[in-house]
Amino acid sequence: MNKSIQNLATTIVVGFVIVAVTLGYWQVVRASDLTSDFRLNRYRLLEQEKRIARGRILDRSGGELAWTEMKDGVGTRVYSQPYLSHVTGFHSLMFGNTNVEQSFDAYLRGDVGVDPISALVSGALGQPPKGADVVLTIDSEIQRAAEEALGPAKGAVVAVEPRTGSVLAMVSHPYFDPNRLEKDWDKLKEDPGDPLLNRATQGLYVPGSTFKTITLAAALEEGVASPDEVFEFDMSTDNEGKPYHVEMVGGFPVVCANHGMTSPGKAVMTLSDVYAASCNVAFARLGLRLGPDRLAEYAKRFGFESTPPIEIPSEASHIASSPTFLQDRVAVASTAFGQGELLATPLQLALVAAAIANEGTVPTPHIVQEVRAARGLIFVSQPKPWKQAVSPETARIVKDMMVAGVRQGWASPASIEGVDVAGKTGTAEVRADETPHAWFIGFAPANDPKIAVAVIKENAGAGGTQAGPIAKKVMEAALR
Amino acid sequence: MRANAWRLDELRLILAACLLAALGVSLVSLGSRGVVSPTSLLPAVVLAASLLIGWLWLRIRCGKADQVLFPLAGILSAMGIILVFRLEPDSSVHQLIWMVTGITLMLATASFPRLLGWLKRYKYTWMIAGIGLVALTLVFGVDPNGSGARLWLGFGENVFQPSEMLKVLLVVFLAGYVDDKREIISYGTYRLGPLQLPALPYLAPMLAMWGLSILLLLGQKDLGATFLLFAAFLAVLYMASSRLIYVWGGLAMFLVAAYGAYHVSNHVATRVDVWLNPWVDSDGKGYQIIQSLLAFASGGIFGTGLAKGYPKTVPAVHTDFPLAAIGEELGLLGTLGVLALYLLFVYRGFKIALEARNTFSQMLAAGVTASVGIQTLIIAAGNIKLIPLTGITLPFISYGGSSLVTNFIIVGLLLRISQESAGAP
Repeated sequence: MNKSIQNLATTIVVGFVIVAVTLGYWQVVRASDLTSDFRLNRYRLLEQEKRIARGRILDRSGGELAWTEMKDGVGTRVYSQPYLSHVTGFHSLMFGNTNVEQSFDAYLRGDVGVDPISALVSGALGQPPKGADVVLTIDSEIQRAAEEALGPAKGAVVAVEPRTGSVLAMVSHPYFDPNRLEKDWDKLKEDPGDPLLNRATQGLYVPGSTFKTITLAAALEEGVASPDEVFEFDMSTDNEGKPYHVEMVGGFPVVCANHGMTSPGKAVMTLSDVYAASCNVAFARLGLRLGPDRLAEYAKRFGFESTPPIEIPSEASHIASSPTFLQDRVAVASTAFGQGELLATPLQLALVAAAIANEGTVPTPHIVQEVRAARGLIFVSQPKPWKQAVSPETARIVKDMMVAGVRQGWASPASIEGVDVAGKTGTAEVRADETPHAWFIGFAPANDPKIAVAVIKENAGAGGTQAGPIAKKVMEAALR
Repeated sequence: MRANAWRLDELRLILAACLLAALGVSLVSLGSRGVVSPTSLLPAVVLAASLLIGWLWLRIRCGKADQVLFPLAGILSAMGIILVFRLEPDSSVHQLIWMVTGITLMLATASFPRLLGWLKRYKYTWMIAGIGLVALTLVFGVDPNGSGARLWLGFGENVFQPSEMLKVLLVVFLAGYVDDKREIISYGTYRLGPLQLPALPYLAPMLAMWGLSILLLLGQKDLGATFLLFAAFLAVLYMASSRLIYVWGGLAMFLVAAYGAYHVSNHVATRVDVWLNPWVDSDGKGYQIIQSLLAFASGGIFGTGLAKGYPKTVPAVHTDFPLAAIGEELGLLGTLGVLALYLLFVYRGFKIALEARNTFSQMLAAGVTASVGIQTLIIAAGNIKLIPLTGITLPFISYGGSSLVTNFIIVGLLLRISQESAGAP
């Protein structure tokens, strides 16, 4: 019987050896391939994610925009300014991260820039892993002013610092409340107003007459127009006594009824005047003088056809939807005054204004200023030029014409007492049955630009009266 | 001799268990709450106190009994306390109460002089009582944890799982029965036509008791306990007879039964399919076993550290997958260490069996030892997908009162047997 007891014991020992070898198989041999399978590990990763004390998102003066509240070791993300939802984005374990929450995720989670020793110590003490704070370039005062000025209308406001490209304010309306994202998701997806879309960087709109700024800069830089050139038109009057004139371009009539300040008969206008009056005929002529290649080239120099290198998702603006479009003379003419197949984001047009303010250099737009960890700054954004659009001389001439446009042209609703404001309006025609989009781009003060803005109010009508006052309030907030 | 008289080896090992418990609960407390408060050390204090009192009692009443088993059970229970404290802190007080109950019953068993004779003489009574209790669960069974099977008997707040006790009672009965009929079982033959078979008629009472137990547990869908009882039966039969034909015959019967069950019972079929390929339904039926494997994998060699992993993604981790939690937080070193502790336990158990004075004691010791070893293998192999998963406990470590109390009673039996083989009352 002792023999059989020994045999039984041996059998059990063999069983233990098999179990031990299998344990080694799962814990060593298969360990890395099992733990790297995201689909299988997502429940574990979720648990891990819930326990991270994510860093805060702050505005440029340290105001808290987003932070994580820990309860029983599980974090909840809180946002103080829902109207910044398109900048901060959201952090959701169900729907992922977007915008700054996504692009700076590694810092916010504490994966980057936290020194390994303090991570080890805090880990041993049961403190949740702590992420770094991301400081935005957003100025909450300007942001609030922009938000209030735009009101409930659909549209967007972008304000940048011309020299650095720092985004001071970015409003996209309608927005969503990131605190309620998971509850509201289905509703937000269905909403025809598309509150999840960041109109400021991803909304592609017809730029209308604001694009004349690029045509003007191109014509001056290329020497096809000179600052003191004089334009002559034969004005007619329509049924209501409004002056207008027509010019045939490539067999197609270009009508201009923009000359609000001229009387019927012969009109004599300077280049500055036609810009301030936003004369389509004059800009059609300039466009034809430049030709399709140079017109497209200058649009690209201002940033068209390139995705702005900002830290949140953005769209490139387009000169034409098909490469052959500009081969037609009518197309060149209509593109030169801002219609054609042009599509631009509010951010791109803010950068056009910033480039004129910044001696012809387009700054690299950025929205994150720095990242602060417990041991100090671990990331500081360095302002740098994005593109050289035109020479400082050309930029200066365009700037003066933009100032004149605010003094006596359609852009006058943006004028600020005691400050030289530079600006250009746009009234972009969309579909025949829709009211045009109202645009304004500009900067202030003209001699030492602190802020460049682009405003779009969808289907609101005339750019000067609809978008101009919004831009004025935003610029005032920056100059306060 | 002096050292032996004072059971100093046992005391040293018990101090190691106390140290382990104190270290474990401190780390859990530090890892999950950031502080070690005096109240969080309470589980370690209760464990230390009961182990030391146990040592003192054995020192007075069972001076010659084995000195390694009780501390080993203590170390394993300390692992269990740490684990429950880590995974279900609110339940650790229950586990502590059961541990104290278990140790008390162990001491009673170990110091009961006429116990062994009494067990053998009334073997049918014990067996029928055990079967009766399990049968009661068919009528009055409750399912306190929502596991889907009504395996427990409730007394107010307290529940008890009789199938845990049944495995000990079955071994007691088998040891007693084969001790009486050993000669016939070993050498007797029964002619069936040209075939020479073992003495089947003499096996009948034994087969009846065993068959009844198996049927009951099958009726309760308690597959783990069924398998364990099956294996324990074969083990005792083999030890008594030294005839391999019982083992082969038993295994053949098992395979036939398993094949039949697979085709008849959905419950069994599901378990087997999930075992064969859990990956096709990794979010559904395969979820539990795959999360268990992920827990082992994410622990790697050294583990994440106590309270630093995510073992709670494995459903029922503290009752059915304690090894996965150990694998994740203590790594391969932790799981191999625990296996080594069980091996040591099994080694001491068989050593006691080999040194026992009579066949009944011998078979009882080897039988209960084998059942602890086999139970450990069944649940460990189930956790790592070597065999289909069954809801059986990891001895001493799993959260659960009946299992803990029963395993301490087994230690008590082994201590009693070793005390007697040393010639002491």
